[in-house]
Amino acid sequence: MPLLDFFLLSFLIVSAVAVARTRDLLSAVIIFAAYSLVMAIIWQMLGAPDVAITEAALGAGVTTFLFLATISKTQRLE
Amino acid sequence: MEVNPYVAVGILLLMAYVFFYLPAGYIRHVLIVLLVFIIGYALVMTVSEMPTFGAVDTPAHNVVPERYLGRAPEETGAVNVVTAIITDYRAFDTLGEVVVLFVAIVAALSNLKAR
Amino acid sequence: MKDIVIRTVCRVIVPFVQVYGLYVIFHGHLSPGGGFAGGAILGSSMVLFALSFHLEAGAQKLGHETSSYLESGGGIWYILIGLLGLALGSNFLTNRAAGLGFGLPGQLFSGGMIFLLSLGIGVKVASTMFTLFYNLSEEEGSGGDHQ
Repeated sequence: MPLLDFFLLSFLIVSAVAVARTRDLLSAVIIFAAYSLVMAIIWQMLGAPDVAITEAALGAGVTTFLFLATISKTQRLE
Repeated sequence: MEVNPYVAVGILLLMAYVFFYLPAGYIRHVLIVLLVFIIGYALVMTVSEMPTFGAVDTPAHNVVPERYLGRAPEETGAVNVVTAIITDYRAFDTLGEVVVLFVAIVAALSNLKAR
Repeated sequence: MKDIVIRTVCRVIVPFVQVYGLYVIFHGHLSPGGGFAGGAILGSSMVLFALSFHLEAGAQKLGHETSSYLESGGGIWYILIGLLGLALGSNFLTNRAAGLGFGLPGQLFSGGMIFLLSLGIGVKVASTMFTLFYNLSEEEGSGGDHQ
């Protein structure tokens, strides 16, 4: 396994655990956006640029602001 | 790996019992850890039976992708085979996705506006 | 949010993002992308505008009613394109067998209805994103000064 793959996959695991463990929902949403961005890079490296574009636009963009809008209507701390 | 269906159903029943009826305590924790190990073992066994990444004899390299990759440009006129499959061969599937989006927004509006 | 840096950067960046979204939609049959990805990029650009300026400013650019009509019109457009294949004497949503395929593969105007279907999907996804965002972040009293 190349070094970049190892780095990206370990970042994925760490951020996925961090999303589940974070008590502050705003921080969790931002970490989830970073997760989606790294996931998009991994899709691109696996040879699926269609999925990469969709993941970067939907995962890192749309999901984040929909979650942010929801948090702004409810409360921030879990 | 062959799995006895009685064993699988038994594991599911044990999960249901542990999650819904067993009171919190030492036995519950031990059983939960045991179930997690069983499910993890099953998942690892499933993954280990999958073909290696990029191998020649995988099921993904049979006659179907040759058919689509070879004849999609002349049959649909689209160079990008992914889009050719999404909007031509499986266009009815994409119609279902459009309906899913519509239903999602109808549900959201009816929840948010019905104050 | 009254930050001049954010407003200036967004005023510069939003047209480029929208052009890129249109490019991804219209080149869906030539390069990676398609209706869903391009529509998500378009919708994100409109949400970026509404976030950096004000919700009312975003609603002036693309109104509530217009967004709803675009959202329904995308789905109806998709079904109409499908019915076109039916009217030409073939099955629902057929492309080349119905005589719709035109142009050489590799050019922009090729692929028959794929282009039109991607346009419908893109418009629908973009207006869905904007409508969802607008309805989620709209408040009764204050006009959307959220985090």
